Amino acid sequence: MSAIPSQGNTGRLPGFEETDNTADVPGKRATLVLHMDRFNQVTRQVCQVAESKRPPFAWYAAFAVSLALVGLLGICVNYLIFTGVGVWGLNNPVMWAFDITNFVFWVGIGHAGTLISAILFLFRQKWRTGINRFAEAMTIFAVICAGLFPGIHVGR
Amino acid sequence: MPSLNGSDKTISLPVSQPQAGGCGCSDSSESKRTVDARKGASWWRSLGEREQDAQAMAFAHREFPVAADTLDGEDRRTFIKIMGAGFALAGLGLTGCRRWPESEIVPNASQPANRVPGVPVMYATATELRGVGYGLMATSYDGRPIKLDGNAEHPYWGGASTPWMQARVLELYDPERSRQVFKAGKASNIAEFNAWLGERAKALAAKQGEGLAILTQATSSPSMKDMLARVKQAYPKAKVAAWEALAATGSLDGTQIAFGAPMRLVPQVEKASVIVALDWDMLGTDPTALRHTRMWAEGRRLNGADPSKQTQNRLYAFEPHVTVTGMAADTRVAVRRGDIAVLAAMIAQALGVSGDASLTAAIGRLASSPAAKGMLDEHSKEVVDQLVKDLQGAKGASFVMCGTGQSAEVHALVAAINQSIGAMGTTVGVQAADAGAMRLPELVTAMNAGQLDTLLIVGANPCYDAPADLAFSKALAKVPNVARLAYYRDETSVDPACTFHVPQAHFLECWGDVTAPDGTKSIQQPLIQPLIDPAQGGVSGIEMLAMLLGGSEPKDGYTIVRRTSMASSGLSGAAFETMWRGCLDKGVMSAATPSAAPGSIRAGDVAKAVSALADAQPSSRDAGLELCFIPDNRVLDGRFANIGWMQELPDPVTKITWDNALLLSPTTANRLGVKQGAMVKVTAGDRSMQAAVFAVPGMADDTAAIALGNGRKEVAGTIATDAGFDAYPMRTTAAMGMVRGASVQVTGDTYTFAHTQDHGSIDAALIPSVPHNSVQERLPTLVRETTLESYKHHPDFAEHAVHVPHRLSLWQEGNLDGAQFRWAMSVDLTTCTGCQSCVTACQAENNIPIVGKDQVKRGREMFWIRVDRYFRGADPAKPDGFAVQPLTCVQCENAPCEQVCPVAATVHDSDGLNNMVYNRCIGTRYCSNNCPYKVRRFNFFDYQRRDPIREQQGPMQVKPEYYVETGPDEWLRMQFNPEVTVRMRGVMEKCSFCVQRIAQAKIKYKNEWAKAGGTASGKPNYSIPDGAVVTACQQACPAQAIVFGDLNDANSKVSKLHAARVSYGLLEELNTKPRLKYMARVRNPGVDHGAGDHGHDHGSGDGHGGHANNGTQNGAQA
Repeated sequence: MSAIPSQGNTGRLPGFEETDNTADVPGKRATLVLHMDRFNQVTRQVCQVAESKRPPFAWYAAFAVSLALVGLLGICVNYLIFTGVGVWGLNNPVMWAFDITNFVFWVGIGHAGTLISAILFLFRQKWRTGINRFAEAMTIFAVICAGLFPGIHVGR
Repeated sequence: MPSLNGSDKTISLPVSQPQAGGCGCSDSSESKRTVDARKGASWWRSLGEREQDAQAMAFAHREFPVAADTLDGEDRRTFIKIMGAGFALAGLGLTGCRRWPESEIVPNASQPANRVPGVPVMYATATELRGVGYGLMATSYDGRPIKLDGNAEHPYWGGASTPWMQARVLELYDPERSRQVFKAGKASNIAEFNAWLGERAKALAAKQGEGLAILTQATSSPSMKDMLARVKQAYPKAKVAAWEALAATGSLDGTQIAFGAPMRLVPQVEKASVIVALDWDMLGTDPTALRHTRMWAEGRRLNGADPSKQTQNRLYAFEPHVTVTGMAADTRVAVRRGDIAVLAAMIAQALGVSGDASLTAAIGRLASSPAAKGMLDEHSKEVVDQLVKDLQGAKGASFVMCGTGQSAEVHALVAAINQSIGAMGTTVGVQAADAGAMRLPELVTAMNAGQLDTLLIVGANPCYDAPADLAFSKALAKVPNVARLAYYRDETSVDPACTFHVPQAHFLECWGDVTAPDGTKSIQQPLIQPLIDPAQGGVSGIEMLAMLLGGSEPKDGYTIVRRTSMASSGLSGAAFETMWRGCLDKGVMSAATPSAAPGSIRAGDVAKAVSALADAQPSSRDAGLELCFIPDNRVLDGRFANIGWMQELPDPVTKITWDNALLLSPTTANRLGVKQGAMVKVTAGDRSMQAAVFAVPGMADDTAAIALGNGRKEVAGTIATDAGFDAYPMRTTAAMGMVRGASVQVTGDTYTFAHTQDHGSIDAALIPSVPHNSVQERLPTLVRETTLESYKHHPDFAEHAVHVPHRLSLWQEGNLDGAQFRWAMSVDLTTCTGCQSCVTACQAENNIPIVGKDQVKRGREMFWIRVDRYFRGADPAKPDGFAVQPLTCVQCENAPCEQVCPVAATVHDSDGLNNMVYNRCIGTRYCSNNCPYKVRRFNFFDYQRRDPIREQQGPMQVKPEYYVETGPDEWLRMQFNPEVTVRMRGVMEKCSFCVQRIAQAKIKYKNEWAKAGGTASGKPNYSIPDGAVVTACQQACPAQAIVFGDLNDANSKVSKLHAARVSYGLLEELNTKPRLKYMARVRNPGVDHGAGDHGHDHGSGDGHGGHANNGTQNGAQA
């Protein structure tokens, strides 16, 4: 944000109407944030999510769904732990099936996040921070998911 | 001296390592990384800081000006570190998650004499099966018999055992064995039965026993015979009958026709160089198969001295279905059961069997009966010609035998053949058979006529296995008083007509005696007090007869057996006591009865019999299917149906577990349009049954075979319930062996078999990515075989089967040079018949669970030793031959499983054994993935505590609470071998080379060495003599094909066998250095158009050094 010079209190960025922000002319950078007059607007927009008294209804709905899925995972993992890895339908010689598939799937997802992050870094994209943040978050959560499987795949 | 690990002279790196990568091991690598990071964290962190110093850190900051602010490097590392540790803890936490069931121990208040807790005691005992007595050696731990083996001192049987002998210890502990007296379906007790029997006895005695009948199983017991004679004496008009579903009545009647007196024939395989088995399963289901296998193996084992002088007996097998005998035979021809008579006539004609003109004519008529046309193809005709030549060339050293599936007339004809080739009395011993008890049809006639008032059934189960046309159950309803003594309260006991059911004492719970086929008597010594409440019976057959006799007769089996022994030995007082003690100790009471003289053949009677056969031949070959009834290789006639070991034992031929099937040849199945697993309705006459079809390559065409003894209902026990299809309803007195003119209709249903024939395929047959021809390429290297002729010229054939590249490993191989022992095993494929005694023996010794049909279907069977069965030849319908190969863990010196185990749960000990450490195993299953032999077995569930399930029942097929329950009935747990860990869920297991037996021997010999002052030297240099360690499979093997011992001892049997030129290791080209080696198979076919030279032809192009064996064998000899 600091790259955008302040233009006083007009509330408008200079040349707003006529600005062609698709061009990337050195020396005259296109405006990146539109319709945001003040920093506090930006701040409010960003912090609203975290600091409001209660999250919006949609959040509760999404959270309920997620919680149900995690609960299902818990039930399944408990069933698995109390009965044995045989419930996955493994056999001899296919000793790994469900577990290795899921592990590889989630590790793959994790790799994708790292890749996005790495490519942006290699190409020295200064705007990468925001993308990297969620890409790396994705990696970490995917690795947590992947890590679950080696943990529960052991037989005992 | 070249070192064993072979790392000294090698050029390239031929190591094919697993491609599985880091997926399954990730839990471990993660935790390892964590440990490294934590343990070495200070190290490496400080080192890095020292190396990179402030300048490097500044460089990093310059490099990531923005990102360094947003995502702190230290935090990320810590996060991953904690996450990794969390994973590791999760893994550890799960492994420790176990609750142990509570139990109490009660110590002895005073120590019993001669008992050392935890030290097994061996007792000689004996058992009886189908009227044949076997000598047994029982292992008892703290009063519990846990294992049965053959008594090595028995002169007839030797030390080996059959699967059935092994399984009988589980029968003892079967929780569903009857333990309650029932009177008309209501619980009762033995006192009530005794009162009832006394009443009956009084009433019967008044009528001289009129109306009394006793139905027993076939018996060889002198005491039983004595008691029956006493009953006859006390009740002169009583009837004594015997029933056995698989009785050898054909042979008795055949000798009656041929010689005028019933005889028991005792083939002396050891004296024969040519054996012709006509529908005779001599190495499989024959009651004396144990002896036959041993002697047959003796006659063909490679002696190694001079290959050009090697001799082998020759076994011809003609049979409708594939048997163990057929698979082992040198030459096998598939012949329909009904054509065996014609074939016998052809052989008789060619041999010139004659006695009088009528016999010659009758044989001629039978041999040229219309059905004979097209019976044999060109190859088979050649075989018959060769066979006749062989028989003529080996007079007095050959014999022909036919099986129980054949009629008395065929047996008579075969007896005439044997007489003409001089076999009778020489290669076929003759024992006089007693006139025998009344047979079942006669008894049923008397029952139907209302002549019977009281029927005592001892052991037999005719409501289940009697011929269907006798309608035994209906006949039973006409007898007012019926009592049955049996192990199980099954079909006959629950029959409404059965007044009393009394639990029978198991043979390990009561006194008795038996006679082996050669006349050797043994004492059946109890190992344990009856597990049945004394108020609920638990009496033996002889004790029940004593109850019937009443009066001053001794009531307990011990006194009765001693009385019989005293009478037969003619001794008394101290001399008898000495004899008695001696035979309890050794298990053998008297020597064999010498063979009787057969007398001369009654040609006229045989001619009449052969004429009858010729008349009975169908006029053409299109008479529909022949439905053959065959003994089951697992449950026999059904009596072992509730024994889990037997149900789960794969059939040696079809490899089906938990079921039988309607067996058809692939050609016939195609012609009828039925697929594998299709349910069909089989109709013969007015009887029909339903069964599922299984196609077996090598069956005779237009033949359907079904094993008896399956398809029992709930009354037979939970294990037996619905296992397979009941063929007894199709069997009639007129057609005990087979029914002609059967037809098959497809019902449209399908049935799933749990068969193991494709499990553990190391030939990659079932991996779609491996093309089929690679199977063809690899198979000959797995089973290497050749003919005797070829072997004489190329004794090195097994060495050239596969090219073994230079032995160099990527890893630092374990160095076993200084080992005190190097245990190894050798399996002789020449003599192995695939009978699977080893499988059951291993199961009994090593506490191997049964898993149930559903689990077998998923490939989760737990056998530590499996017997792979291969077909040879291009035509899937008519294989040229069969091969069997028992496979245990081969105990690789360079074990692929060890390299990948993340927790070092499978490791080598100093003797070179590849051990499993169950406590360490967390069940990653990595080792099994990396095992090229597929011999590792994983406990997917806690199989020991779980009822075997036949069919999957929804997602909750596994009861979650089973894990903390105290298990099923504690009886079954009493069979456990305390020397072997009972594995819990989630651990890998595999063959251990019976490490507990090795340890026992080590302790014994080390103690002796220490007592003799050996410790002075400071180094444990005691030695264990060759043969002191015997593995369970080796002990059980009837062919003595398995040899175990120490390779460090150059004179040990196994060292010599490993050094033999025919010795090869399985998949040796992978540089696994297996400690189990096979002796390549050498067969002796008379006529062989098959590829006998398989092994030699293949790979002979690799004409340069580095062949199989060269490296290791030299090393082993050095």
